[in-house]
Amino acid sequence: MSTSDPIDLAKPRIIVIRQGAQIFPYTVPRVSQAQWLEYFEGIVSTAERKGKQIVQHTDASSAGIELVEKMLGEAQKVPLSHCLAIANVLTSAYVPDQEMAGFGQVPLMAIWTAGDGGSMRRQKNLLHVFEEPTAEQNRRYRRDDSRAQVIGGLRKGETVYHGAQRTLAALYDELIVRVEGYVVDGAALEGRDAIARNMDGYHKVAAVARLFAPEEIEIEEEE
Amino acid sequence: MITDVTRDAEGLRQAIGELLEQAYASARVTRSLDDSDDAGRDRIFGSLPQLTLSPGYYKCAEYLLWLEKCKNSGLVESAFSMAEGQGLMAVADARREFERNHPPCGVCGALQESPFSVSCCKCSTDFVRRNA
Repeated sequence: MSTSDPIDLAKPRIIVIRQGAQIFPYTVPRVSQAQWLEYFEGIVSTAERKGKQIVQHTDASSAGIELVEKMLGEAQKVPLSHCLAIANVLTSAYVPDQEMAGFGQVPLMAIWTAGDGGSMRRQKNLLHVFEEPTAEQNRRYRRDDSRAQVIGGLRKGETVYHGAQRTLAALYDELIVRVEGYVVDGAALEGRDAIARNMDGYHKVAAVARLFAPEEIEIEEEE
Repeated sequence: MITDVTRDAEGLRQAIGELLEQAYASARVTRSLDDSDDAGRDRIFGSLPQLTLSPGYYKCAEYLLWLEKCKNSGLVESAFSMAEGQGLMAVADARREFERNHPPCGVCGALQESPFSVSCCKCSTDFVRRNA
């Protein structure tokens, strides 16, 4: 598989870890939407005030390890460092430099599966095209993104954010128009329902989140 | 003790009040920034009112201030949840308190630094105190 080949969402992913001369290939079956939602719910994101500073902490590794263990089955003994590396690959999708090719056109980059030579490659040809969200959809995202609990008091308490990934995954299914760079069993992936049913849950959240992110402000540094 | 921020109306009222005070103070000092060196700017930023609550309160407060703006623009289509309704009441309470602390000048409308100001900070109109 070369970087210009589309991602086949139906096929298991081969994730290859190299340690010196040793090669460890892992076959990871397709991660379902429910498994992704469980992963997102396992991410712990906290913030607390320490004097004038705000200390933020996000731990996605525990949720990542749990996901990988589920995907590979408990019978397979996988070293912790390999678990973490596989989780990093599964969650590698990102929007490069926060840029959109035009409003609603979100490019993604992601490491998906090993190429023919056994090395992992970054896919750069992925595109998600969305309808413009309505004010009501924007409201749903902002409301759910602002949900939090505070443990231990109004001022010194630690904020635990719930995250809005579940809402983002639902908004993806409502807003997606077409995608490029993906196939299912070799066939083109077309139509909202088919895309919603087949798209990888992490790619959904990574892509649609860009629609709700603030635009970058260009800053000119003083000489 | 675990508190659901969206349902803590008193905490949200305080958070919204602090955000309003900070925005007011920021607007006042912005004019001074252009003429200041780095040390001066640090001093100015350091003099701004500090936020004191756990960070989650401000994220929720910012959502409520945004929701209030949408509501006033007629952009909200679906009904408010109970928590959103209580949150909007917290916004109204915080705004009332802010306006009591920063009454507008009757001549130019500028918000005053304090309810006890003797003249307008913008147009210098002298205020006449009742019961003086």
